[in-house]
Amino acid sequence: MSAETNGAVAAFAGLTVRYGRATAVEGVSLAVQKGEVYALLGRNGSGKTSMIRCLLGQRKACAGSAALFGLDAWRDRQPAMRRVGVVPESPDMPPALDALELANFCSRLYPTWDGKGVTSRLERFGVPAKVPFGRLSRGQKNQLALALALAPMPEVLILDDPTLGLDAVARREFFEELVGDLADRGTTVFISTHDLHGIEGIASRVGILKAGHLLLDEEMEALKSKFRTVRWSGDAGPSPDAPSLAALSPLRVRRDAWGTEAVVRAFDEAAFARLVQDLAPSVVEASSLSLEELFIAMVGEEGGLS
Amino acid sequence: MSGFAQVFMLELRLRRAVFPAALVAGIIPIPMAWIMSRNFGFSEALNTGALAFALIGGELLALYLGATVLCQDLNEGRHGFYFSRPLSGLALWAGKFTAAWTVVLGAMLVAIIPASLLGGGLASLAGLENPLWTYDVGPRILLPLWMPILVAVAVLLVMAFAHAASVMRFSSPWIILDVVMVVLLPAMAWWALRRVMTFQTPLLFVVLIVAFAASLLAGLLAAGAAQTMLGRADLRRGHRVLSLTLWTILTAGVLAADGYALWAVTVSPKDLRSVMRVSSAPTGPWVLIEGGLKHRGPYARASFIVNVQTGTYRSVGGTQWGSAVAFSPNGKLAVAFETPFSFDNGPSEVVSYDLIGPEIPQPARHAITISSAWESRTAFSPDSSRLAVLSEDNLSLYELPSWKLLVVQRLSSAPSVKGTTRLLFLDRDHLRILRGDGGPRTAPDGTTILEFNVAQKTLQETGHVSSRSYLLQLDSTRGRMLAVFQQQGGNYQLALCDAQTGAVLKVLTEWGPHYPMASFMGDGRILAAEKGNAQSFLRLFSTQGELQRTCPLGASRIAVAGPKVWGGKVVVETWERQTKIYDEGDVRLFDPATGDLRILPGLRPTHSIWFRSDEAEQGSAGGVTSWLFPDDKGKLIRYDFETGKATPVKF
Repeated sequence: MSAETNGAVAAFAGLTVRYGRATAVEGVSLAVQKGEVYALLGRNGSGKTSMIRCLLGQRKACAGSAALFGLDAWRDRQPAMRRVGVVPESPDMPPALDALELANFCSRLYPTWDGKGVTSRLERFGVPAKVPFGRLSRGQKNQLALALALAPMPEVLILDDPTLGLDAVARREFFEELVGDLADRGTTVFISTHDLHGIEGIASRVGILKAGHLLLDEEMEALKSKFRTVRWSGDAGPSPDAPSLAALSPLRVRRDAWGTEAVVRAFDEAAFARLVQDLAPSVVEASSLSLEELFIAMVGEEGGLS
Repeated sequence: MSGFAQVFMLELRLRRAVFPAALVAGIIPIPMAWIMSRNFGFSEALNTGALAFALIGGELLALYLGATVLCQDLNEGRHGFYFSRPLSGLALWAGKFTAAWTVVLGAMLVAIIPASLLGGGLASLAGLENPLWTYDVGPRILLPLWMPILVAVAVLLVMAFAHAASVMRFSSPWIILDVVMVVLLPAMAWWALRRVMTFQTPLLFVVLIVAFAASLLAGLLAAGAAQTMLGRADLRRGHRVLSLTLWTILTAGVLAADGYALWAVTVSPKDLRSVMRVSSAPTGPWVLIEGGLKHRGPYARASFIVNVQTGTYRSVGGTQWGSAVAFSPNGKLAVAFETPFSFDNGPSEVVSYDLIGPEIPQPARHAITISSAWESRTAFSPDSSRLAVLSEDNLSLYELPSWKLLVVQRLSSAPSVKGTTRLLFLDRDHLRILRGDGGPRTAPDGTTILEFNVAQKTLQETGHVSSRSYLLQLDSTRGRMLAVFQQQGGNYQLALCDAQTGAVLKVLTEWGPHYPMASFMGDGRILAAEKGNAQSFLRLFSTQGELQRTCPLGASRIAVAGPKVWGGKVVVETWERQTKIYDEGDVRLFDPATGDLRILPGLRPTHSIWFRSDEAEQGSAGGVTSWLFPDDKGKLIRYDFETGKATPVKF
């Protein structure tokens, strides 16, 4: 299904981005539905920012397309941007302008503008209104960028690693603000981030990029249920390709002094019961993965999908 | 408010510090003027200093802002801020660029304020009466507008150039195209300029320069806009879009200019606005026609040798009015001075055309360079076996048709009046030379008469015409007589002189405030036009200068007898004033026997006497030009004296 026809708020269809001879993104297709919080995860250089630039109409795809609201993101960038709020990877505003001047400039570009919201957010964040943008701290720059991105009350928020370089407090404040807006207006969010703890509680769908390829595109609930860690004591047990373990699609199997640990990606109770039977009398337990554990299992140096 | 206006206002806000800085910088010329005022007046030094400071500073600021107004954001990754807003690329580019342009122009104005308060700067600009850049451009009332407009355009051009240069990256493969085009396009532009330069007409040159500047400006602006709109935040793509847009527009502009230049210089007789001059070989079907060209500006002209029997033609001669083209007396050869390339009256080469060879005569170049076509002269011997070429007082004689150089003779080390020397072969071995005395650019003090013996290679001064005499014409019976008019204060008289000694044989007209004109008829008699107190007269003198007939000439006071004769009558060309010879004039048929002088309606003068009367004289009665005239629309026609019918000459 093409990005234009599936009714998604944001969509990529076979997106390919190259920089000279280097391929940054290759054949990626995904869709973000209205109201979703889509977390795009990936290591540095995996192609996240390239995808977001294509979605914002700042870079033309070498092949495939990116679409916003069913409109081609490159060709119809300007009308699409009226409905989008953006927080870039590195806040990129003119360094000589202060927050009020920037807000004043932006306010006249959008049909709707919540001026009071900007002021209250800046006060809440503690961002000084009359200090030039270039002299703000990294955290303040990001908070200002978020305030400006939320002010036009956008239908979609696109955030490119917005908490990069922020301390723990600033990260928390950032996500709290985001959660608040989501709760108030049900905004659709497309976010790329390395802050897996921060996003875990709010993401409804996750995509994982590795070297420009989309490894995974799943709803968070399904992801949590399918991906588990299975541990059993002792060093005996089936090999990864034994039928009882293979039924769970192990991503990685590791043995240590305590026993054996396998990360599986197709967990279900029946298959798990067969594995318990095979491993008796060893103690077998299954536990959920955090998003970070899952991410490391998927794209980490040891094992992982390719 | 539109995106353009928002970006414009934002950029002005970002650059607002420029204005107080310009005001402070504008104080700098004041102490400089005070120091300079020891050698110049304070006001003059302040005017010049303030304007120069503002202009130079403004262009430098334009260079800086052009290079940074968009590219700094692009290089530092800040374009995303604008492109993640509902702003069009065009609004972003135009808003930022217009704001930067406004800042530069505003800063230039602000920088003049301190000097203006002291009476310099702007005040001096308004006081300029005849600055160089207004020459021949427009009404003087518009003078104050030209400089600001030119400065504004120059600032825009510098900014657009700086922006384009700052987008080009050596890491991009498109830089190869940039380098190639930077070399190729100026070469193509030079090709066009060089072609029109040979026409020596300012309009074509100005048209090309304006076309190049306009296409450069349009190309740079369009490329900058396209780079922002289609390259957006992508540097490499931006470079590619900029290069493709810039070089496409510039190539189209330069190719159009090349095409225009090619069209402008590829001319045929049909391109003549009007035929202004007709002269011919004494025998044979070849005539020289010359005239202004259509659609190529007021000064563009061309001359052609035309075979009036077949209609074939060839463009000949240099690029100036009164082109130096001479026919040999036997009608077999035409010799022209042609300027291969010159922006002014520069060196030319001697080119000959064989008129009995191929249907269209081909040029034969003879590696003979002359200093200037206008100041040089040629003369054929009566038997057409020798050619004399005079250039900068150096006389060269060639044997024809071998073009063997016989002798080179320096006429004199004394200065001569440029363009006044006349040559006339008395016979195969004797050449009469009349050389105007005086400085290169002054009126002649007199005329020195020399005779060169070709066989003995000796040069002898045989006579001198008294001071302040202007040579009008040598007679056509091999240089026996001279007609001169002499000047004394504001009065003139016409005299007949011995062509060997310069002695005055007869005063033909008495001193009067209007200079007279005279020309020899084919039989050696003299026709003179003279303006009296109320009336002009045409007077006919015998070969000895005896008055034979006086005819009223009406309003005309200038008359020359052309070489055209028919049935014992002679064609006379008349004008009211010398300043009108290109626009007005009548052709009249004069009967020396009866004094009848009647206008031939629908004909215009051939001007053959005005240009190079020594050579035109060789086109004698009976030649084809006897019946060729421009008509009142400037077209060349064949005139039948019997019936009065005019038939167009087909080319």
